[in-house]
Parts: sequence; C-alpha cells; structure tokens
Amino acid sequence: MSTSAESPSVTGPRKVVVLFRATGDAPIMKQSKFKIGGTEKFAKVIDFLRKQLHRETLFVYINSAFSPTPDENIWDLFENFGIDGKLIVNYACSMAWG
Amino acid sequence: MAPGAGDGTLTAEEFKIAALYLVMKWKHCCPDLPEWTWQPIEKTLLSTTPGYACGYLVLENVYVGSDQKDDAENLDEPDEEDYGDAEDQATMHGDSMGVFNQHLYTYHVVYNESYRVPMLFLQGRLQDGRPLRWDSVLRDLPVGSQLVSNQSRWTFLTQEDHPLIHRPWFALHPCGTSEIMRLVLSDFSQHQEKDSVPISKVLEKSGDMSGVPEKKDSHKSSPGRTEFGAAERSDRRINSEGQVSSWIEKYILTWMSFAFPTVGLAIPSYVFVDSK
Amino acid sequence: MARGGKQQKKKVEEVDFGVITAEARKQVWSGAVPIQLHLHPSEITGSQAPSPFLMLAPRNGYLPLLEPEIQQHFAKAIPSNADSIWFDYQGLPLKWHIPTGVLYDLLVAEFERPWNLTLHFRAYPVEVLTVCEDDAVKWNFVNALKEASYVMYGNIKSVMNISQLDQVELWRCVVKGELEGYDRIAARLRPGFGGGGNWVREILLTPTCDDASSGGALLRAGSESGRPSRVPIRVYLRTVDRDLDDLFDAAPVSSWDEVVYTTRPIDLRGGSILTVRDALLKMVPHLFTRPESLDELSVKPRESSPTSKLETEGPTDDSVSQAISDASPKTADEEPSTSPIEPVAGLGSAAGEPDDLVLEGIVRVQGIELNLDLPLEWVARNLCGPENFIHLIVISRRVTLQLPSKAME
Repeated sequence: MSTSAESPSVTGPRKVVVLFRATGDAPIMKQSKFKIGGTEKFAKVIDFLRKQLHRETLFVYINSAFSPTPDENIWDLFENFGIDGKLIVNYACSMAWG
Repeated sequence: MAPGAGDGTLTAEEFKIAALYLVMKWKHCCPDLPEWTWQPIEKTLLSTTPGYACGYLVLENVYVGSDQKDDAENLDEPDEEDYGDAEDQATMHGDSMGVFNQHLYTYHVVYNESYRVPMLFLQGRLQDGRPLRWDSVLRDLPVGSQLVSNQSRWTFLTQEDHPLIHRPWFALHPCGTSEIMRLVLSDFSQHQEKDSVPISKVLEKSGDMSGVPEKKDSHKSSPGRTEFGAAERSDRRINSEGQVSSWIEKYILTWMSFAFPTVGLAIPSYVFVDSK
Repeated sequence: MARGGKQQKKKVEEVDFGVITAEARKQVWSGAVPIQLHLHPSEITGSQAPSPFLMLAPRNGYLPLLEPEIQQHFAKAIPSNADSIWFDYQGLPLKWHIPTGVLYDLLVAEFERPWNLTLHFRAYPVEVLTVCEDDAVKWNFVNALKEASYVMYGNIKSVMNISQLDQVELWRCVVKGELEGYDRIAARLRPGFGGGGNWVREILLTPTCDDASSGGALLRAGSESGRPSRVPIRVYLRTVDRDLDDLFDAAPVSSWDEVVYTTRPIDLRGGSILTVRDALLKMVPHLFTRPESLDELSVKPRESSPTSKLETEGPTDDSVSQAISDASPKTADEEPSTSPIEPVAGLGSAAGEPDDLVLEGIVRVQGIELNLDLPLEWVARNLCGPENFIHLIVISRRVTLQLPSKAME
C-alpha cells in the first residue's frame, strides 16, 4: 500500500484515473479514460456517464461486481478496489427489473 | 458461455451459502447497522425437501423517514407535495431518529424457485403497526423508482402473497435479475481459480452447517437433481474438492448492491472488500 | 370404496393417450364450480336480505372476474363506500390469485355442490389478501404465465412475443372460460410438452432443452422446439386428522397458516422423473410410507347430482375422472372411479425401495383424484391451470415428520 496518500499535497486533491468499460450492448465511448478528483462522489461519475451516453437508466458497477452508492467517495473506492492504478467502472444499458 | 458465470442464476444450496456469507460479512463490516439474520423455514411439511431453499434472510427495524402526512384522513389520499427526496430515504439506524412520521420497514431476501434468483420482499408499517398501502410505499421510494413504477405498474414493484408467510408483501419483480447478474458476474470467470474457497470455511465462520452436504459426499449425485454432486455435475461452479467460487459467496451482496437502491437502501462498499 | 390390492398393471406405454387428451382438455376448461353466494350479514342494508345467488364459476378462472354478474344481482346491496369485492368460505378469506377450481379442491375436503360462499363489499382484509384493484387479476395471470415459461424454457420470450391482440384475446378467454380460443394462443407458450398420442416416444425423440456445457437450464437461443427442462408446479398441502375415516368429517380450514403451499418446479433433465409419483417423491418424500403402516383413507367419489339444473351447463369433473381412469390401470373390482390410494406394486422388493412407498393421502388436480402413475408431462400438458402451472393439491393424514434423507438416499 502506497504511502503517498498520506503525504501532504500542495497541488490540490489527488486525482483518480477512471477507466470506463462498456458491457452488454452498451455503446463504447470514444474516450474511455478520464481523471476525476479523489474527493468527488461517485454520483459525479454516474452523471458524467449519463450525459456522455444520453441515457437516464444505466447500470454502473465496479469490477469487484457491485454497484457503489452515489455518495461513495471516489478515492475510497480507488483505494479499496482499484486495479493497476485505475478504477474500472463498467456500465450497461437496457437492463431492467421485471 | 464463460465457466463460473453461468446464466446468472443460483441453486437453492448456493443461495444458502451466499446468505450465510452475507450474514457473516455484514456483522463484521457493518456492526452499527441493523443485522441481517438467516431465518430457517419452519419445519413445515414442505421445508425439509432437499434441493429446495430451506431459509431466507431477514432485515428488520429499518426506519424510513417520511414527510408524508399519515393522519387518518390523509392515508388514502395522495399528497401532491410529498415526493420522497432521494437522499432522505431509508436510513438504517438501530432506533428511531425522532422524526415525527416514520415508516418501519422489514426486508426479506427469499429464494425464488422458478427464476432461481434471490427476490426482495418488503413490508412497511406505520408506528402503530398498521400496514402501509401501495401508494404510501410508493412514496417512500426514491424518485427514480417512483417513475419506473408508474411506467411499469405491474412488472417492477408489485404486491404479492409472500411465498413463505402467506401475507401481502411488496416485492421487486425477479424476472430481470438473472440477466443483470449474468452480465455482472461474467467478469468473474477470469478470477475463478484463484478465488475458490472451500465451502466449509464459509459456513464454519457462520456456525451453521445444516443443509449442506459434507465434502466427502460430493461425489454422490442423482441425475436431474441440483445438489452437490460435483463430479457428475455439468455445472462447474463447484469443483470436485467441494470448493465454491467466491462469486457464489458474494452473489447476494452483489445483487443487493443493484436491487436495494431501487427501494432506497444503500449497501456500503466496504462490505465488498476482501478480508485477507 | 374398495382400495385395489395387488393387480395386473397395464403398461402405461400401451395406453393411447391421444384419445383422452383432447377430451380431458375440453372438459377441464368447460368445467365449472357451481357456487352460491350469500351476502354477509354486515352488508345487508334495508329490511330484507337479498336472496342467495347461484352461478357457475369457471375452474380455470379467478373469483373477482365474476364481479360484473354479481354486481347485477346484488346491485341494491352495494354500498357507496364499497371496497373490492371479496369472498370467504366458512370464515376463511379466499385468495383471489389462486384459480377457483384449486380453491374448491383444496378447501372443500369432500363434496359440496353448490359451494356456499359469503360475499363482502366492505372491510377488505388487507392483512390476508393482496389488493385487487384495476387490472390486478390480469397482471397476476400474466406474471404467472411468464414464470411458468421461465420454469419450462429458461426464458420468457414466448410470453413477451404474444401480439397485443392475442394478449387481449387470451385474457378474454380466461375470463369467459373458453378453451378453444385459449388453446389456440396458449399452445405457443408451451411447445414441446409430450402428452399427445404416443407420449413416451415423443419424449425420447424430442431434444431436451439442456445446455450441458453451461449447466444452466437455458434454452439455446431460438430453439423453442425443444422440450421443457422443468415442469411448473404449485403444490398445496393440507393435512387432516390421522384418525379420520371419512374426508367428509375433516375440519374446515380456518386459517391459511394451516395450508402449506409453494412453488416446486420439477427438473426433467436426467429422465428420472416420469410420473406424478416420481415428482411427489421429490417434493413431499416424507408423506410416503411403507404399505404395511398405511391406513385406508376413504373418499367418496365426486358424483354429480342429475337432478340439479346447474349440472346441465358444461361437463362435470366426473366425466374427466372417467376419462382418466379409462386410461389408467383399473382396480381389481373394475370400478370406474380412480382409486385415491394407488395400488401397491412390487411388494416383494427390498424395503426402502421407492417403488414400495405409498403416499399417505390423495392428490387432486382439476377436481380429479389422480392415479399417481400417470405421466407427469401428460398432466402438465392437459390438466394445468390457466397459467400453465400444474396445481397439485395433496390432502394428507397428519404425520409425524420423517426426515426423508435416509429413506430416499
């Protein structure tokens, strides 16, 4: 576990690299890698995806196969579930209950 | 189809494994939240049949803060201004928050024998114990779910005869579950070998081994029966040493992370952190 | 009625099911339960209670669908603050999502024609009955159809692919109890079930929906002509006193807690389950016992009363019973009605063999007391309810719970 997270940063909040993966029949975005501030909430990721894909209903989940709540902290998610320095976020459309 | 991911469904035995794992993990990770408990089905004449579910999960005493006016005369009339705020939805506190109008919810996760997936049941009551009617339950849902429900009145959240208790409960319709789970779990196939854990370890921790065959018996299996007959089973989710893929353990938790937000419940992400 | 002892069993494969199949379907769907509705005393307004109302309720239908006819007769009694209509039988509120015929077979231990029900317009028992507003009955039916489809084929495509027009027509036929219209559309929802003329050959020749490599029960996409891999069954278990000689004396069900009912799909893959008996051994193994310890549970056959004018509308359960028993092995006395307890075969076999074990009770489907050696798929094809589920009613003696594992291993 890296200790760099604990050293004081003068350049502002740490950024997390997010890699978006389309699953099922979801459209693939032109650009799939983005950076986002570690202090942001997961809600921002969801909103971003919604705008990019022009869809309201999306299933969004982290590689360890769960869907984070919108108020989860991005940095916490990255620390716990990041792989190779990235937070992999999968998204799917056309999924529905019932 | 990727081995290990299957078709997104779960057998009754796997359901129990996943349920007990959840109970254990939840207790460990979320000690301040109300507890999930495994409730064995009472020994009625249908309960002891092998190959079918022998219990279900229960979560009680969840307070949903409500700004609905619940006085007698308004119970039956929808109040236009009162649409639940998404962020104010279910908070899992052990005791009352002191909010004036609180609806008390109980949640069950029951195995659906037909669709072979877990199914969420919920029941809301007023402080005085009276059950909530459909429109009150609806207004306790997050806004997004209310919209979906309005569009899919009979295929999203419905009132059902609870399969075990035989009383009216509300339920999230299960027929889309396997599709979602199949997709989500298809990634697990890459990690399958590394992540296998012996079944007994999971249940040892939870202290409940009933209903799960010993590893020694795993070579026995009758044709057409879905039980731990690992050698003959075409399903490779349980290997010949009686080890289960870790995605089975996590199945219900994974499913919950998708299903529960629709009724306003949050599953904290640290439940999914693997304890080493 | 005598129970058959050892006898010659006609091989089931030799029976021509083609002849009785169409007949059974027709009679099941035309079958109706005559009911007599009495308005609950608390609902009576005015000085005189309205007279009881006699009507026919289709077996493969649901009680709330009778509302239009009922409202006509009881128009004056309907209060302005009426809830949904509901019914009780001897105090037990009737669950409207269970088909009418199933309710009758389950709750009326012996014979009662007409079936006397109490009618309510108010005080809907919300703690016991799910809400029955708007299209609730129809959607309950559609959801059950989807569920049955999933059980059989691993997907709900066949139901989702019905056109809007067909959906409307299908529902109309359920409401009216019309077989031909229903069958035309519903046949597409359950392709591949054996149970036609030579059912054994059909089963052996038709490919099974069994994707061995995935281990799931899924149909390969598009191959809807495959045989179903599971049979959708709802089983209802009611126990009566062990000392009871006559089902007629059984205490009425006073609470739904006394009835154990659940969904129990039966897996057909592997071929070990062919008969109703095989399925019951899987679902309720502890209701089986060795023949020596069995007492006779006597049941009067359900006779129709030739003088009752209600019987003239549609065939009775009796004739279906006749059709089934014609196809089944007869008892030694050559009695026409089916024996409630199946004949014991192979008494010489080793103790504990499944063939030895006998069910302590009777099994009813569509008002017929079933010979347990009937092929399960035939029953699924021809005696299922409106949503393609087999509703199996088991009325059993109260037994001490015997753990099945040792007996069945």
